[in-house]
Amino acid sequence: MDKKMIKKISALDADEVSQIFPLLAKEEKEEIFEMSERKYSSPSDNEYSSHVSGVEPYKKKKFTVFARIAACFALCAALAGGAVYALRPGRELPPADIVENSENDIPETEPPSETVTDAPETPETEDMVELTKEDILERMLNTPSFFDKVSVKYIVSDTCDSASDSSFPCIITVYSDLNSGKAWTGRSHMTDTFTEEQAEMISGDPEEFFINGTDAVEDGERTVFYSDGEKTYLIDGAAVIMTSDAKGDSGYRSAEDRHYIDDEGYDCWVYRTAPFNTYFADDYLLPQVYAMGFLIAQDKWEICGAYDNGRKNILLRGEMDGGYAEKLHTYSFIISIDAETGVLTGMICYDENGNISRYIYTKDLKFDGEAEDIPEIDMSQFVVYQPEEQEDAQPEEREDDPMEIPVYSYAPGELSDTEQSLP
Amino acid sequence: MTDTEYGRYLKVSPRTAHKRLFDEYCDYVYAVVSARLRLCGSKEDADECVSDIFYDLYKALEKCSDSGRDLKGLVITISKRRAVDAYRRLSSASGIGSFEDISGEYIPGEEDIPSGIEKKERDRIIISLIKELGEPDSLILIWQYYYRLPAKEIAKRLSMSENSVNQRSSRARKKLKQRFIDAGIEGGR
Repeated sequence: MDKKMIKKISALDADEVSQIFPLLAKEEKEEIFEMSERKYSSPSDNEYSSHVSGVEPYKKKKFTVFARIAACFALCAALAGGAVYALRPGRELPPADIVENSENDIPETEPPSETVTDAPETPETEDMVELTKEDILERMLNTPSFFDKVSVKYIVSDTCDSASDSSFPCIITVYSDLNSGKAWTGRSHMTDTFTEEQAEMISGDPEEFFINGTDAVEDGERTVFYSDGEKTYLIDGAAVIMTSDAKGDSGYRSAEDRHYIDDEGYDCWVYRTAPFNTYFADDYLLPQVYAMGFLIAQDKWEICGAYDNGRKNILLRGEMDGGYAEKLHTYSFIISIDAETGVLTGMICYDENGNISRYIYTKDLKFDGEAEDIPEIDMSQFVVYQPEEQEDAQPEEREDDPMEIPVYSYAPGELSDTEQSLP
Repeated sequence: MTDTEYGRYLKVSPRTAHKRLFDEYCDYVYAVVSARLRLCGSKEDADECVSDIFYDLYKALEKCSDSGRDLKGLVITISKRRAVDAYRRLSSASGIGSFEDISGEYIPGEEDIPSGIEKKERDRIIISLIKELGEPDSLILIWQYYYRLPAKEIAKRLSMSENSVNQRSSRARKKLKQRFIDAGIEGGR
């Protein structure tokens, strides 16, 4: 009996069997995948070339040799004739500069200029991918240790406004000097949140989107955080002075050092205080929320590429599941990281159906000497509340204000001028 | 996966595209290769052949078009061709000979297999009958008679003794035989 039954099992459709009874474990698949990649990256390892052996004797044909010699003579004669014709008496010589250029165009020993410019890019790109997952995580958790000054524009599909508990697409422009503590951060809505061109680009190639994503247009109503190095002011129809606590824990710590297990056995991580005074953009300039939320499970993501848009960037691709994925509407993602500093340069999140649920990209990211100067704001234009009024209002105000920011008044007539002078 | 999707991944990086393609079709390709090499090749031969198939696919898709065409057809074609090549090479090396020369072991020929919808439907029924046996019996039968893993390898995968695997296999075959008869499938008799 068994033979007939076994016949039927043997003849089952590979498609059905592979779907219902896949054989390979994850590790086995990884091994075979790496084998195929090795073959691809060094074709000499593949089966075809490994079977090549021996040398077929090459027999020169006398006729071919003779024909080649004859062709050489004919070519030389033609060149000599052409030269005599070109230099015949009465014909003007070409201008000297053209002659010089033509000589320079064909250097005898140097390779063509294209080869020279292209050559360094490949190893650099390879170097970027050479970064390990641990390297990347550590940079993302310690970005302030890699630069002193930054300027950048983030274009974000949904920034949550804690005051109104709503989210909206916006543009966040950032200037921050870590040495002086001065910073300027402007956030404004976009006039055109998502153009068709943008939609096509973002759903196409992530790398191209991060490099060439169209610049967004601000609607003119901007909320600004300004830090003069001592205190941070919020300018949003009212001027508010905040006490800044951004000088706290800013030491370099590895991912491992940040991890601990609490009394109930849960994994916990210590966050580094962002010293940028940029408020809206702290999570992007020091992307520890993304490092710990998206990338801490290292088997769930991979380094999937690299690109150069003036700075070197690394692309990470991963998946999420469970409650966190549900909360963020993110089941898979592509994250772009500045290779040198670990700063977030882009992100595309996808929901459970593979639709884009969120995106972030940057324009004009510059560091240190290349970073734009911080715009100055004349704070003398603003008038603060009297401390008595603040004290009267304090209990109720603070109850609703999780940040415990003392509220001050402003000079409304001068505010519009200030806004216009902002970059 | 379509060629358009593959092309997008290719723009991110070739490795990304390769990984996506591999993850999508690896199980299928392995099943095709196992079915062909079950009599003459080892697991290492099957692994080697699968990696060759994906190498061929990566090369074939280097200049990927953007037509929205499903890549499964290409995967099936290359998998089957490569598996047959590997079978010929291995069988000639091991002296097994052609399919027709093999006695005592069954290799399904085209004439034995009902075509198209009829076969698909019958396969679904057989697979559902095997599934009804529950694990690990269903796995033992498929691994033993489809993928042709030796009992020792199955025992290792299931953390069982080789003896237990053989006993379970024997009982599972008896159960399945009865289910084939009940379902009116010819192999039961």
